Amino acid sequence: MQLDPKKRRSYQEFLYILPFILLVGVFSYFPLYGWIYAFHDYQPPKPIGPETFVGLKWFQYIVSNPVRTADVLRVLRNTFAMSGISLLFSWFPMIFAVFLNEIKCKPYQKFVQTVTTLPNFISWVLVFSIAFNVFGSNGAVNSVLMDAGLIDKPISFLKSKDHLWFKMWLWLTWKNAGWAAIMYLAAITGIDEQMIEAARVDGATRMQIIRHIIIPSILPTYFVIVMLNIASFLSNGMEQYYVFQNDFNRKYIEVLDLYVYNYARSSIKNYPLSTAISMLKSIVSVILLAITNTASKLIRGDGFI
Amino acid sequence: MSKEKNLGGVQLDKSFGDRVISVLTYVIYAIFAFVCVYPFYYIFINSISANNLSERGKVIFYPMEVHFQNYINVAKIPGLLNAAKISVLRTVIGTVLTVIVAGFLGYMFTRQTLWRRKFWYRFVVVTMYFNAGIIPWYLTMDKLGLTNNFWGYIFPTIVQPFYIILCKTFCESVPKELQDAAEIDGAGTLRIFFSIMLPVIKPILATIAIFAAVNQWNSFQDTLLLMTSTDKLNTLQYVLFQYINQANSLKALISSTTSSSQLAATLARAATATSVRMTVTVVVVLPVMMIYPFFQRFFTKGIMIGAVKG
Amino acid sequence: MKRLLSVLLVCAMVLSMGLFSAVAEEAPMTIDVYDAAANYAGIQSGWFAKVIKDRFNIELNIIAPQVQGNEVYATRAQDGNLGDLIVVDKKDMSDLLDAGLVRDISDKLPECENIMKFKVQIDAYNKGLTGEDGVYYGIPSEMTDTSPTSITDDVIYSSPMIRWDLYTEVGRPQLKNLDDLLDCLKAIHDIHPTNEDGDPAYPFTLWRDWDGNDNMLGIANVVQLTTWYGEKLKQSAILKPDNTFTKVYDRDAAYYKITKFLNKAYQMGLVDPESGEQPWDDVANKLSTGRADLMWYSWETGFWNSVDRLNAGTGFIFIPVEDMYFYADADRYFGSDRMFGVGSKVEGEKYDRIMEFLDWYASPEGATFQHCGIEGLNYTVGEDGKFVPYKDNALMDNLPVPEEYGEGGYNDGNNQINQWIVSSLCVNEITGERFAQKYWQSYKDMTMTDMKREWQETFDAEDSVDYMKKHNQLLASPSVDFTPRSDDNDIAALRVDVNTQLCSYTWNLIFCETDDEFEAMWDEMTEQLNGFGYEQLYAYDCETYQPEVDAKLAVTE
Repeated sequence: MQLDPKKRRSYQEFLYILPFILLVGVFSYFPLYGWIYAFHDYQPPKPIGPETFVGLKWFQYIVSNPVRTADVLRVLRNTFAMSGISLLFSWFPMIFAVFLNEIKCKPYQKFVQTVTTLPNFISWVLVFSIAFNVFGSNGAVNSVLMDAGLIDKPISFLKSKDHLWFKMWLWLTWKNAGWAAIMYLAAITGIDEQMIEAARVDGATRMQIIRHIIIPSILPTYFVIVMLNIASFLSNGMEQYYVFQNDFNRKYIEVLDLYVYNYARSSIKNYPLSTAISMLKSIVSVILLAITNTASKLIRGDGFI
Repeated sequence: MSKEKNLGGVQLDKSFGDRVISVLTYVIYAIFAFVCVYPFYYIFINSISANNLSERGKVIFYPMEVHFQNYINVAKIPGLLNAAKISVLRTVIGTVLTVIVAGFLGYMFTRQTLWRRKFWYRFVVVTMYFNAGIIPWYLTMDKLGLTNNFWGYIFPTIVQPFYIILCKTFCESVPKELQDAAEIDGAGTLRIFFSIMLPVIKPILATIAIFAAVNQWNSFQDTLLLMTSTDKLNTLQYVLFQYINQANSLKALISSTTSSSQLAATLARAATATSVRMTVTVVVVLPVMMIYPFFQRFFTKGIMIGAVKG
Repeated sequence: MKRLLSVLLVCAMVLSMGLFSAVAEEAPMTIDVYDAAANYAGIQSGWFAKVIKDRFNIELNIIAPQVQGNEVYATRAQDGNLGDLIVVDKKDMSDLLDAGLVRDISDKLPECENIMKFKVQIDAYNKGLTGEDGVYYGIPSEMTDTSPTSITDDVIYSSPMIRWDLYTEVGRPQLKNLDDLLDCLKAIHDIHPTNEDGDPAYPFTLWRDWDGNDNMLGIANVVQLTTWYGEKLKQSAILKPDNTFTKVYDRDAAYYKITKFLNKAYQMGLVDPESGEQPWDDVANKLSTGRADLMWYSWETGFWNSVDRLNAGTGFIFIPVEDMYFYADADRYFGSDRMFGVGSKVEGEKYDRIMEFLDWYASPEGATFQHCGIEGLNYTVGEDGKFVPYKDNALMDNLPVPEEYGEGGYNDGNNQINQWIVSSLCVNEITGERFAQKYWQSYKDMTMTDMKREWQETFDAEDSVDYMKKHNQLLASPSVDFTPRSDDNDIAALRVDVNTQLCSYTWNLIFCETDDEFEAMWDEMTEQLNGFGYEQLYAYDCETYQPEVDAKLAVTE
């Protein structure tokens, strides 16, 4: 029996990707069995078993009493704020790349491109120690302001909770913008230069070229990134917030990942709780992914996944 | 209307608006570049200044009492050379595989003919958001024989959904005619990928290469958790992490054991956790910066798709 | 296929490495050490590695949950093999026994002469573990050879210490209570607003890195100072001098008193504004550059009191305050919170060598390496056979070790197990003096200064402990064999909640601008803590520590 050639090709192509599908299955799907820990009172070294099963206890824990629920809501508020601000300014690396591309002096362009990726390599711990020396109560900025007589009491930049979310965004952008811009630079390189040349010959100004040719061409990349960011709304990572947190700004800086980390770090006994929360996070992310994809279909006529 | 001329690659901007934008662009990027360079410069001058001055935050504009002891100490870390070798190996092998697979899968997922294309694409993409926890991950790796095994660094990183998405998006922007023409010539799926798509998607592959390489180069968590019975597979980052960790615990040690009265005097000269961390940062970033221009060519200089199209 | 490939490649790698080592000599036996005390993960290297390889032909592969994360405990337990040599918290031991992860060492331990010098303590501990006599599973760590009630130290863990020259300069005022102490510090701050380099100095410079540590909830700087008034935190509960427990937010207890004290200091401008945002590293730096005018941990003086400064009379030293009543732990006769054990999978030759190693570890030679370092580097031997301190900076400057110990720096090769069987307070049979350097006659001679003599005249006492004893200001808490039970899952989570809230509120309390604000916030804290379920945690902790209190009472009566 012969398969029709179209079908055959379709299966053949599937065979090409099958090894990689298997890798994903083994390294990403198989370990998910570990989610069962979220339903147990896991107390290593004792293995889990029927007698340790506690059902949804750890999922209910976070809403188990009004004070704790209020606390979790506060953490979620911070998470939403940080993610929201990031999302709101997610165009920044793109614009950064677009205008960087406009720099005609190549050595300067390369220089800027290279050095703006440098902060990406500085660990958050080190970032904080620089921040402390520059912005701490006895740091360089305060010394200068005090010497100039502009203030008579040091400003505690690192303790204060004013504009905290925005300041965190600034640090994050400083660290990541140059790095993230690489993706857009690559996308810009993919643009057909003849198109730009033609527009130029027709007398288009630079802004017009940017607006009508460059941005539309890299918009698909941007859209995909925004969608992915929406789906990971609940994950801000914890390192940055961990190093910048102190007990004065904690109420505003504590995001979900940091909240979970505090439990996990304290004792292995909190493993079920942190597993429950990360399980919830995964589920929410996948739901958000589905929603944004549907929205994208409705708006752009095409889903991104 | 002003016509622009191309003089040796340098564009002459005639419009006033364009010129204002030019100047603004240069200034803003200069500021941004400064903000990015300065901390690194700060780290560098502190790593070569007297540690007690640097600890007190006195080194801000230029190095003071220059010395290279911090670097000498790093060079003396036992097993550094082997660790560097392992790091280079994992970075090279890991990056090559990740990039090829991302390019290939990214391309395959654009092929309408692929059996249940959408399903499999989603199957891969959603794993970005999975976090099973460290315990099952370790046990899985252990069952696969990937603990205390160099390939434990490589296999889990081969399929990376995010890079695949980037590649797919890029492939979609490539004009369809390119493939169609080959298709009519009777080229197979693989041939189209290797001889037609691969050259065209170089910019995004270079980007992914940079991302993947840096990830491989920087990771030490996997060494920490997986390579517990051997020190032959230590990576550079892991060894340096241990070194920083040691410097940290030295301070903690003071609290528990010491009764030395000369401690204070020696403490001032001793490498401190922060100066160690700074030195390590410089040591780690320099190799990256050295190979960076090689990749940079691909995404700052446009390849002429027009030329490919012919 | 991939698996096969990987196996092949690894074989190739192993072979190529094996070739080199096989030529040399019999390869050392690798002992996996699961070590809750270690700050380093990996193979022990350097001089200590050479010392034990030469003696036992073993190498130590250290698995460190402090470095690798708590999960390593779970994953290894799941494999049924935690390690060959096990160093864990005592409170985890009964779980390990239940899971069959620890080996019965009753056959070999009685033959270990050096370890069995601590037979009383080992018997007591193992009896508590299994309920049977003569069955051994674990060896407590850092046991002393003194007694459960003696205090050997000449200075207790926490007491107020001020620079002698500054105290003299403000007229050596007699201090009756905390208010007097603040006035004195205020006077010092006024004449000493900066250090010699012109950097600002404050009496109080606080840090947050250690909050919630050492089985005490709340911020480390406050919980330590509660001992000035005879009160000691047991997790969430305060143990009062009358051996009853009270809640941490009790306004009559010392946690309130000390928080209030620090707030008052803040209102008087005596607290470093960087407190609470600075990492410990920066505090260490401030301590060593004279930017802190008050010290309260005994070891803190190590950052400042160099021989030169002691001679110049500018060292930190205990200044008595009349109304204080110091809580101090007696010598840890029954050992610290950790113990040594042997993994259940260990058999035969490996078992023999581990036990030999452990016995050596507790021997005078082994303990000398741990506590005194290397002869010719850290100390020299005087004509009378007693040790004389030599290069004090061996650890800090990572000095190269003498040739016979191989290569590398002293610190690189330092013992990474980071836990010992024999306390440094024990008497070293080699010298007849205690292991710890500060008890060596040679060291005492070096550090006997005019400052110390002046202090002795002023306060009419030998040292600070002597002063406290004379003035009935010392509450010595005897050492007992006690292991707190380990938390269940609910308590573990609740503990994080309560600790986070308590620390957060305490920091903000210290930085309150007015007393009214302080009191209002204290009420708010009480309410929040109760809201999270503090009462439940408190009840649990009281129940946990009551046996310890009873045991201590039994000793003193």
